[in-house]
Amino acid sequence: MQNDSHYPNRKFSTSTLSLKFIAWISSVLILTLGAAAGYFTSNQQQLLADSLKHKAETLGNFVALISPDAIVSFDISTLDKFVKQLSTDPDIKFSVILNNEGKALTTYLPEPLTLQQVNQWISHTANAGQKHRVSTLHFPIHHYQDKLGEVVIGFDTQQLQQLMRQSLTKQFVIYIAIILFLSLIIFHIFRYSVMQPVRKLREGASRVAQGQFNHKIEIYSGDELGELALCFNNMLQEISADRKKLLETNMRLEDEVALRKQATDELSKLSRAVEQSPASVVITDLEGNIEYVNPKFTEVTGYTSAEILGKKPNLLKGGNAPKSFYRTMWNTLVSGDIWEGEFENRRKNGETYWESATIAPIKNASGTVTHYLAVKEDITERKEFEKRLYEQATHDALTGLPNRNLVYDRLSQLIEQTKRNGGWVAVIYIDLDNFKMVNDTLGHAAGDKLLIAVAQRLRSILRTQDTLGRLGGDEFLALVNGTDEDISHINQIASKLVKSLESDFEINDKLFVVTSSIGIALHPNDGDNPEALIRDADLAMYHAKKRGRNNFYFYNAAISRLSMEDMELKSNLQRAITRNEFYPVFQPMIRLIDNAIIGAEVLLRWESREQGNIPPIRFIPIAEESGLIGNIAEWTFTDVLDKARHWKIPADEEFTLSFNISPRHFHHEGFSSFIASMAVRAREQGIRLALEITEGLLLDNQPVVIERMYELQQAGIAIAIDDFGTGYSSLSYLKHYPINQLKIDQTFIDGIPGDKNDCMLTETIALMGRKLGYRLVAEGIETADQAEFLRKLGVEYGQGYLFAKPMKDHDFVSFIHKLPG
Amino acid sequence: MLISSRCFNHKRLEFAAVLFIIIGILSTPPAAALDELVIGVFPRRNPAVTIQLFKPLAAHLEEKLGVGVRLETAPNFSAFERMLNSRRFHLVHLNQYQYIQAHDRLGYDALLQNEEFGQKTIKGALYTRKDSGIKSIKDLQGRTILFGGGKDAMMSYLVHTYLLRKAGLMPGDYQEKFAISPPNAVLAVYLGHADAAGAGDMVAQLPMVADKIDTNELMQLAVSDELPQLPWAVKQGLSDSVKDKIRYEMMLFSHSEQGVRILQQAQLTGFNPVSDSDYDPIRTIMHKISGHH
Repeated sequence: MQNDSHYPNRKFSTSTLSLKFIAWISSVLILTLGAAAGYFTSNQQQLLADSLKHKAETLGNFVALISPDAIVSFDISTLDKFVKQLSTDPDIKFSVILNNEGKALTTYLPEPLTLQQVNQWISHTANAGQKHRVSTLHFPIHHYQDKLGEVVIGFDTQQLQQLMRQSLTKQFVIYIAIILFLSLIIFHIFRYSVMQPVRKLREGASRVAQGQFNHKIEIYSGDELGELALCFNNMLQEISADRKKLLETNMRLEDEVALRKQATDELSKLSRAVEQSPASVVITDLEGNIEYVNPKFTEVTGYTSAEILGKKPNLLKGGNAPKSFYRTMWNTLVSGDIWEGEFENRRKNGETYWESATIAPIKNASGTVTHYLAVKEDITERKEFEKRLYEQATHDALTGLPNRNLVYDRLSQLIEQTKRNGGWVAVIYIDLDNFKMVNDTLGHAAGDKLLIAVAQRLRSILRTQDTLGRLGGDEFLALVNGTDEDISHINQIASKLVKSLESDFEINDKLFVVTSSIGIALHPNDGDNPEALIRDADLAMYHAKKRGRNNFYFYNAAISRLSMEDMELKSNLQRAITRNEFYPVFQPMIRLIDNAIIGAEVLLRWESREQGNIPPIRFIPIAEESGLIGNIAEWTFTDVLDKARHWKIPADEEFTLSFNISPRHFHHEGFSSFIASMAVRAREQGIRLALEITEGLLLDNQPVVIERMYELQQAGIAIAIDDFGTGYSSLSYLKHYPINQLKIDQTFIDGIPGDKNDCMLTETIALMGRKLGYRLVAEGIETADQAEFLRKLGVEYGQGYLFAKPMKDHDFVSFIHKLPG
Repeated sequence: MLISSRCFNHKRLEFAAVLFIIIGILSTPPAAALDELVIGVFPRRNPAVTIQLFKPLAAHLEEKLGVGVRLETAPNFSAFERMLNSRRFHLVHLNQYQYIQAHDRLGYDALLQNEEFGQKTIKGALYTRKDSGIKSIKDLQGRTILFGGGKDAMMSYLVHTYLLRKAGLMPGDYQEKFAISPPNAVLAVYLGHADAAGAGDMVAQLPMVADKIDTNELMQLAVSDELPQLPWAVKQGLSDSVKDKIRYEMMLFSHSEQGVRILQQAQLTGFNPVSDSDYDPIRTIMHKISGHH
C-alpha cells in the first residue's frame, strides 16, 4: 500500500546537482586554466622581456658594430638612420649614439621626445614620477681598440607592462570565454548524458513512490545510467508484478476479512437481534421440544429458560382453539412451509394472552429440516385495541347503540336472513321533533343526556333481538323482523315507540317533552337492500313530520311522489329568480277609523313555468330548507322598492310596507346591513319598512336575535309579530324584544264577533297591545262587523278581504289612488 | 670681387650657347661613332644615393644620344680620383677643384655647370653655434673646425681655408677635422662635436639638415664670394657633336616636364653652359691656399 507519509516531504531537484556540477566544472576550469594562464603569462612575459632584451642587444650591438665609420667621419645622417631605424621598433622608446663625452652623435628622436629628456633617462633621473618607465641599454662602439662612444637604447617598460596587461586581459577574456564555452558544453553534455537520465530516474522513482508502476524509464544510452535505467525498469516490472499479486492477495484477504466480519457482525447482530428481539423467539427440535427461548419469551410468559427448555410449547396453551387448528399448523410445518397465525395462550401466572406467531422450519445446508423457529409477538393489547376500534366503528359513543354502519350491516344480515327464511323486516326511522330547540336552549350536554334517555326508552320498547341504532343527531333506526303472521305487530311497535317519548324527560332538573316522527319501510314490500329501505323509511318519517309530527307513517308510493315533487320544486326554485318567475302582491293595510290606506303587507307569489302557481306554503319551507330563502327575500325587497318608485304615497300617515321574514333568513350573515340599506332607500321614497316575524323566532330567546332586532329598530325598521296568539303562549318575550306592532292572527278574527272566546281573546290581545304601546293590526278582516268590533276594541289597523285581496303592483297603484286620504 | 667680375651676362651667354648648340646639332651628324657614354659622378653623396639621383638623367641621355650610357661613381674621393685618372669617363660631374686638376692633367673641359636652388653660383660658409661665443674668424683660434669633405673638397674645405687664411689663421692655429659630407659637418657642429663647420652656404637649408636640427641655433660666421657651381666636364677627344648634343639635351631639362622631374631627382634646378675660364677664380683660391695648384 502506498503511503505518502513514508516519504519525507522533500522536493527533488536536479538544479542543485547541476549547479554543483557547474560550480565544480567552473572552479576546476578557472583554477586550471587560470593557473595555466598565469604560468604561460609569466613565461611569456619573461620570454618577451628576454626576447626584447635579446633583440635590443642584437640591434644595439649591430648598430655599434656598423657605426664606427660613421662616427669617425661625423656621418651624422647615417647615424641618424641607424637610430631612426632602431626607433621604429615599438618596444624601443628611443635610441641615440653618444660619443665618449656623452654627446649625441645623432639628431633623430621620436616625437615628441627631446634630447634633454633622453639624457635624463640615460642618467636614470627621469623615471621617478614619470608616466613612462624607461630602461636603457648601452652598447659600446669600438673602433679597433678605441672606444668611440656607445649606442644607447631606451625601452619603455611601461609599454611592455601595458602590452602584458593587454595580453593578460585578452587572455583573461579568452579564458573566460573558453571557461564559459567549456562549462556550457560540459554542462549540456552532463545535462544530456547525466542529468536527463538522472531526472528520468528520479521521476520514475517518484512515480514508484506514488504507486505508479506502468511508466518505464526511457533511457536508451549504453552507459552506466542506461544500465541503471534498464535495471530500474526490470526492478519496476518485478515490483509491479509483486505489487499486483500483493494487491490481489490483499484484496482477497480484505474481501475475506470483510465477509467474515460481515458474517460475524451479522451473526452477532442476529444473535443480539434474537436476544433483544421485541418478539418472543422459540426454537424447538423436530419433536417440538423447546431448545431455546429468548428473554422476551420469559418476559411474556413468565417461564425462565430453565423452566421451559425440554418442554413442549403446548404448555402455554390457554385458549379454546380446536384441534384442527394445531393439526393444520403441524401439517404446514412438516411439509416445510411457514405457518402464520394467532394463539391464545396462557402465562405462567394464569393470564391468557394473544400471540401472533410465525413458525418456520430451520434447514441445514443440505436442506434438511432440523429445527423449528417460532417468532411470536404479544398482540394482547392490539387485540383489545381492535376490539375497541370495532366497538367505536360500529356503535354510537354517546348512547352505546349500534351506529349507522352496524345497523346497515345488521339490516343486510336480516334481509339475507329474510330472503332465506321468509318473513319481513321493518326499518323504523325515528326522528325527534324539536330536538334542536333543546340543544339550543339547554346546550349540547343536555341534548346528549336527552338522547341517551331517548335511546333507553326506545330500547326498552324493542325486543332483545331487535336492533336499535343511532344514525346521528336525533335520528334513530330500529330494525324489527318477524314472520308473515305477526306483521300487524309493527303498528303496535311503532305506536309504542311514539308514545314512549311523549312522557316528560327530566334533564338538568327541567322537564322536556320530546315527540318523535317515525317513518317505516318494510322488506320485502318496499325494497330489498339497506339503502333503499332506509331511504324509504326516511321519506316516510319526513312525511310524518310534515303531517304534524308525533306520529308515524308507513312508506307508500304517494309519499315517494311527494318527495319527488319536493325535489322538483327545489330544483325549479333555484332557477326561479333568474327566470323572473316570482312577483310580489300587496295586501293593503287600512286605518280602521277612516279606511285610509297606511301601507301593505308584501306577499310573494311564484308562477313556475313547469308547475304553474305554487303557493308560499309549498315553496317557502323548501326555500328555507335549501337556503334559497335569503336570495329570494333580497330579490323581493329590491323588486318591491323598484316598483314603489312609481307610487303616489299618501302623505297623511307614514306609509308602511311589511315583509314576512323567515327565521332562517333572519339569522343570515349580513341580514341586518341589507335590511338597513333597504330601509334607507325606502325612506327616500317615503316608505317605512316593517318586518313580520313569527313567535317561533322569539322562542329561541337568543341574545343575537335581540341584538339584531335592536339594530333593525335603530335603523327605523318596525318589528311586527305575525300571527300573534297562535304560537307558544309565553308572553314573557314581549317584554324582552323591541316589538313595534302585533298582528292579531286571523283565527281570532274569524270568530268575532260571534264566538265569545275569540272575542275575549281578541279583546285581551288588544288590551295588552295597547297597554304595551304596540301598534295593533288585525289580519283576515272579512266583514264589516269584524271591522267594527275591532275599532271598538281600539285596534287601529287591519287588513283582509273586506278591504282588498292581495294584488299586483299596478292594481295596488290604482287602489292607492282610489282610496280616500 | 674676383668671382663677380667674371660674371658676365649669363642670359645672353645662355642664349648664345643654346643657339650655338642648336646650330651645331643641325650641322653635325649624330654621335654614331660612340659606342657607350660613361658618366662619372663624384661622391658628393654616398654612391647609392648618387646613382639613385642621376640614374634618370643617364637614362634620358641614353635615349636622346642614341648610345648606351653607363653611370659610375666611387665610394670616396680617392677612388673616384683613381677612376678619373684613368680617363674612363666621357662625361664627368666633379667639384671645382677636381675639375681644375682634371682639366690640367687629364684634358677635361667644362661643358655645363649645376644650378642649385636656382643659383648658378655657390658660396662657402663657416658655421658655428650661436651659443659658442665665436664672433669672428679669429675667434676660431685654437678651435676645432670640421670640414664637410676632404682636403680636395672645394666648397667644404678649400674655400673655407681660403677664408681662414685671409683672416690670418694659419695651419696649426686651429684643428682640422673632416666629416663625411658638408651637411654632416654642420650637424656635427650643431651637436657640439666641433666649433665650426665648413660647408656651402646653402647646406643649412638642405632638408637633411633643416629637418633634423633647429638651424636657428647656427650662424654663418663667414661667407665666401660667389664661385661657379659644380661643373660637368667632357673628355677631350669626344666629338663636338656629342658634346653639343649632351649640352643641348641637359640644358633642355629645365624646359620640359620630364626634364624638370629629372632635375628634381638630381636635386638640381638646371644646367647652364660654362667654360673653363669660368673656374679661374677657383684656381686663384687654390693658389692662395697651397701654392702648389
